[in-house]
Amino acid sequence: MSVLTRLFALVVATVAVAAVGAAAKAPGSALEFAVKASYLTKFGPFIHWPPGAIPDDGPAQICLVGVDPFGAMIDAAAHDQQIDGHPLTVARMDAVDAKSAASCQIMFVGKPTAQSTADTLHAAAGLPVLTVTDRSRGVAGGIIEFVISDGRVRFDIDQGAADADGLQISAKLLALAVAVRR
Amino acid sequence: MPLTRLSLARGIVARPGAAIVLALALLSASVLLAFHNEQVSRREDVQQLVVQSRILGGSVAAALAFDDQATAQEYVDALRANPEVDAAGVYALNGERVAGFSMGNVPLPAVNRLAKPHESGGEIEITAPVVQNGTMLGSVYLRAPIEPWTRRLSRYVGIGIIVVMAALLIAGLGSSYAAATEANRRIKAEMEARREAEEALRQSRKMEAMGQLTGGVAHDFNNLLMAASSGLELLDRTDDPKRRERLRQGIRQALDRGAKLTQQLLTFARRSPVNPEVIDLGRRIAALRDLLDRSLREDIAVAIDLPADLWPVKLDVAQFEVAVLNIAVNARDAMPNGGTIAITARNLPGSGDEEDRVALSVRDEGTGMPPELIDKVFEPFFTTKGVGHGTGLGLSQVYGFARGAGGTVRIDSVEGEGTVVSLLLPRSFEPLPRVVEPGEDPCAAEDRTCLVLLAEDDAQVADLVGQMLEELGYDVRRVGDAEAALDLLGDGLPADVLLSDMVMPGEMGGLDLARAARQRQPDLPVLLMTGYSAAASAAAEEDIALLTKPFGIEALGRELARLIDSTEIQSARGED
Repeated sequence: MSVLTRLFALVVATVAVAAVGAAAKAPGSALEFAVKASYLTKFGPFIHWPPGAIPDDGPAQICLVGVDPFGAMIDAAAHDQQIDGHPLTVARMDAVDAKSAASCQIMFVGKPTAQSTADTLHAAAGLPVLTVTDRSRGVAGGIIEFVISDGRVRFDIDQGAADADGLQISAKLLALAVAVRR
Repeated sequence: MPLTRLSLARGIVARPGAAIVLALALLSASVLLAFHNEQVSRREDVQQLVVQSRILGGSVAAALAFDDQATAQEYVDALRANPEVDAAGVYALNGERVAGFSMGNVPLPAVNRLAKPHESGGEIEITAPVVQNGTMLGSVYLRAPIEPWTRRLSRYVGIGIIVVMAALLIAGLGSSYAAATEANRRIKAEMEARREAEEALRQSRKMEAMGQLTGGVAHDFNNLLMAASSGLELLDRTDDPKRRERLRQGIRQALDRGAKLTQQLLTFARRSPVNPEVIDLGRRIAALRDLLDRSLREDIAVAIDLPADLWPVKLDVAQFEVAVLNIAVNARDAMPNGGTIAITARNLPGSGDEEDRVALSVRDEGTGMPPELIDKVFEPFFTTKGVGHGTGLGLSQVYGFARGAGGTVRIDSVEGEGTVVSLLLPRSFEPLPRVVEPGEDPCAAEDRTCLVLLAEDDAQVADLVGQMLEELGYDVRRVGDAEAALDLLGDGLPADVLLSDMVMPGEMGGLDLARAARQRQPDLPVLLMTGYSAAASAAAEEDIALLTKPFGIEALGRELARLIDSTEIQSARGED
């Protein structure tokens, strides 16, 4: 158990170092992730969650599943942000099931660690959770996918998936999307 | 209430200066209203800009949140089409500008600070936060030109001119109305003063005339009394029947003239009862001839030329005779050296609205009158004769008579050649009554004597009238009051005529008696005697025959004969 845990930690650390290294290596990649982190915290005001999707007395939660490419940047971005009056917190997890997925309002699915992207998305499917992936970094699926367009961070929106999960996306946000799937 | 308000309003308007105050009030009210409208419109403009800024803020929320500068710029550029917006900007949360434009010379502020709408440099600046679902995402900035005063004023110039015109109109109308009211008041006061002055003048003229009249009449009467008393004295001293007869005639004449003078005065004073009857002018003038000859001097000739086919006229015979006499006397006095008075008459057929008239003209060859005198001759007491030679009542009596008969008088005069006085009298279409000669007893045809029931309280008068009646050939039954007369009639007294005094003691007067008698015996003719005109006009109204005191035996006989005759004619017709 401890060996496994230690090994896991090592892997995580390695991946993290590798990721940060990759970001550092790629020009402007730090800025790119800062922008993405900022965007993740700003989707909230443009999304309408069904009643009860956000616990009355709890915070709204951004879950980072798999590899976290943002680090402290997203914590800083989430600070002072709110969704429907709920403070925004960031939670990091390797894997989710339907139950833990239900505690998230926004779920960023990074590169898989303990759980495949498909499994992660599957766990959140049908739940009022805004799933976000980064297609520009090789992870696709979910309701919103980050893409790079004209050297800028943009996004595609799968409105059909959002409808299926009971989420309403503001027309203002849809208008900003590079592509909208219905 | 509305009346009070109206008069109150009129009172306010009528006060000078009130109209100007009203006009000023209108002006200031208009200015206040314009100012208020301007404020409201300004607030609405600002409100519109605020709304515009919010719309912009809402539109650019997502673009701001996700750094989409191009999209933000697109939204901002949409405002370029709005001429009321000079500059617009979208600012990120940290205050940095993301997108925007500025059309004026003043650039967009580099950093936006949220503030209330405020004016600066003739422009108004509006800022609004960009909030999405309670999350602040940035801010927007709008700058709009404030409409310059000149342009705003020009918008009010048209209505302003109208208001100023209206105010001027009110001021003008009001002050002229006030002036008119004031003038009207003054005119009324003047008219009142003038009326009073005229009244006073009339009164003083009357007094003056009374003086003149008293002098004239007294003089005339004095002469008559002189003639009568000296005649009586002489009568006592002579036994020569011829001389006595001449003296008696002289006395008689003097008394007649006195009676006529009194009659004339009464006629003038309109106290003489008017008793119009249909007459033939020719016959009447012919009957007047003797009187005319007697009244005029020896060197005055009277030429009467009347056509036989003159239309009948309806008038008061006594007044008519006085009028003709007056005209003739004037003509006589106009010819101090003698001459001819020509009396002519002719029919004047009317045309259109004018009725048929008969013109009776008296022409003299005298001195004539200047035109300015002609208008004055009808005025009472106007006379050109000296004191003692006339009363000035003559022509005014003529005028009064002519008007009373429904006609008029015309005077044509040429100085040095003579005067023509014409009586224009309306034609009467009533039939002429059968003429009864005085003294002709209507009952003689039936081989009997007519019976007169005489009601008179004054024993002396009753005695005198009784003798007159007997002289005329009537039987007389005398009573002292109306009740006795009615009793006799009730007892079946076969009276042919009832002759009664107008004023008698007892509950019934002559008029009541006449009514009661008529009720019992509708075919009984009634003749009332009176010297008082007010009672007489009452009788005339009821169509009761009237004899004015004093009267002579001739008049009494004529009137009685006429009454009995016409009643018999009527009853004869009734029996047909």
